Amino acid sequence: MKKRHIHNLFISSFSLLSLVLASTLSLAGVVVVVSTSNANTELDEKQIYNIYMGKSKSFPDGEKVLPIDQKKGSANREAFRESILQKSSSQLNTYWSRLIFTGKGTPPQESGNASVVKDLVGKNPNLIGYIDSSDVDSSVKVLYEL
Amino acid sequence: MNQLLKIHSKYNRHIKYALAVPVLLVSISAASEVKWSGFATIAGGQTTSSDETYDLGFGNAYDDRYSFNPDSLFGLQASAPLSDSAMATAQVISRGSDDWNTAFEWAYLAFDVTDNWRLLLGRQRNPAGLYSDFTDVSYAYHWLRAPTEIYSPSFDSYDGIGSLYNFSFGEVENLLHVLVGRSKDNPFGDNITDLDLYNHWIAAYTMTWNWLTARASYGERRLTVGVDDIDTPVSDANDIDPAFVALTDSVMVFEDKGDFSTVSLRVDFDSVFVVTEFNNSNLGDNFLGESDSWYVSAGWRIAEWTVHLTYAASENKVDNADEIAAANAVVAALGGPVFTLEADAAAAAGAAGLAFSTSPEAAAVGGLAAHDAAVLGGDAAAQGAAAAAAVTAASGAAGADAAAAFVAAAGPTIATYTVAATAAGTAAGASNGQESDTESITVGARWDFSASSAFQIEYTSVSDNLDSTGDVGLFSAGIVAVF
Repeated sequence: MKKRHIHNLFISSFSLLSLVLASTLSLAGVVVVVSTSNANTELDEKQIYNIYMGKSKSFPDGEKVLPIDQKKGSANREAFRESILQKSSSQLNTYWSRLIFTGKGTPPQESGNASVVKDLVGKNPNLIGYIDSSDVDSSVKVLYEL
Repeated sequence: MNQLLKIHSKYNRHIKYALAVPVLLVSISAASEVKWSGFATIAGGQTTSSDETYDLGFGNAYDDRYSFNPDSLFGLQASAPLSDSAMATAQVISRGSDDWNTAFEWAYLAFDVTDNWRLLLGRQRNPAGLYSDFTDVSYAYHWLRAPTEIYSPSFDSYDGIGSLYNFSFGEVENLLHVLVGRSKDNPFGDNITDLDLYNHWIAAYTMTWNWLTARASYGERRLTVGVDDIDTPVSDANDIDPAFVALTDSVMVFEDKGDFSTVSLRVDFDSVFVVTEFNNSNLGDNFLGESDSWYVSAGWRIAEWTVHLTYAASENKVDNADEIAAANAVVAALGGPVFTLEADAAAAAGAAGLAFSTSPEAAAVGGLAAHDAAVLGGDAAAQGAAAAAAVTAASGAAGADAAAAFVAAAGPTIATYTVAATAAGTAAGASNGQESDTESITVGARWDFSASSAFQIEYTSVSDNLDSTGDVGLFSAGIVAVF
């Protein structure tokens, strides 16, 4: 029991350490954003997952949602995939290839880096994206922090 | 001219859609965002001994010399939004087995009626089993090729209307997929002048909950196969002997109603998965009969590797006693030797059984190819040779010997041609329709060496309950990718 406790403590300090290290390195986290003109105020992890996996096509308020991805290999995209989608790149490719080639669905639009995504999202209330929190400005609002 | 027409008919699909390409490209380039995507399988293989072939369907077979053609393919898809709720998509596939000719496998307009309901208008796949929609996209499943007992390559695109309706009950996601359409694709080419699968409908229901996927589908259709060349001699022969009426009715595949059903179950945890499917296919009131096929496959994922093991079996059931009796009645009435078709059929069933287990449609068309080819040609010798060649191709040498022997004995009359043709068709049909059980075991490994491509290697061993003719071992390996 005690041993377990110590072990947990060790893990927590370790995660804390990596968190500190990570934030020092990137100076910011990844946030999920929509346009400030979008009426929705929050989304949970499951809702974001459903939107990015093509399972839900609208925001909680009923408006149409179009998810956009950053370009392949971006650090934000990797963080988003691991934290929200929780699938390997291969698993995601398999998932989407079963839909793309059978008329059942289309993956999120790939649209460049965080600042491109922020610009697009800021201009269109139907879009949703994820960006570096340091890129957040008055055109977008944060619905979820990773 | 007739030959020209046939060639035209064979490539009709290519020509027709090739003409559609410029139109499609023009409209696509006018749209703002065209999405290009694609997939490829570059694989080769060979059987383990010199007298063995492994047929993937329609004579697309591996033999004991290493070949890249049977499984290799290259697919390219262009998709363009037409409005917020409409999209045009075309998918072309070049197959090694078709001399890398390009054919449109999908070409449709998708309309989102609501968020959960999409209509597909145009050319699309028959959604019979779990993997039917993407049988060509090897990257999307763990095998190099989906079990041939249930999945046959090509011959599965229909022109019609599809409906995809998604709904959920709590954590359970549901998909109801309905397709109504018609197919006139003719994978066999020259020997069959007409192949028509019509009044085709299928409904497939899939439910997914967490690690569990369950699916059931049922469909019906009518089938008519290549009667153009045979109509005249058969009707002449019907005048000669009314016994022919019964025989030709039982042998010809004309507006015959068939049905097919599949149930599937898939359990998928992160490191272990098991998938099983059962298919019943009934090709209607003719010699083609009914088949039951099933498989169970299990895989283990270890980092970038997946190792898998599959057992598959196929049972071909048919009651062809009526056909055999009718054939013998006709032959006897014309003074010819009585065939012991059961015996011929038993001998030929090894090869035909394998063809049938690979694809009931393949065997169906094979039998009719024999039937059809047997009435081509101007004299008795050519007639006999055509029948012999066709039957040999379709079902082994025994049926051919019977047909050729009969032609030699009876001499060249119109009735003879028809009897030879019908007997050849019946022999082919009877042997195709023989009770036969085949089973196969596949072991394989897949290495996902990058995020969008993988290396796959497999060994498949097939055996049947008849003799060693249909027993074969196949090594194959290749790269599968999506892009």
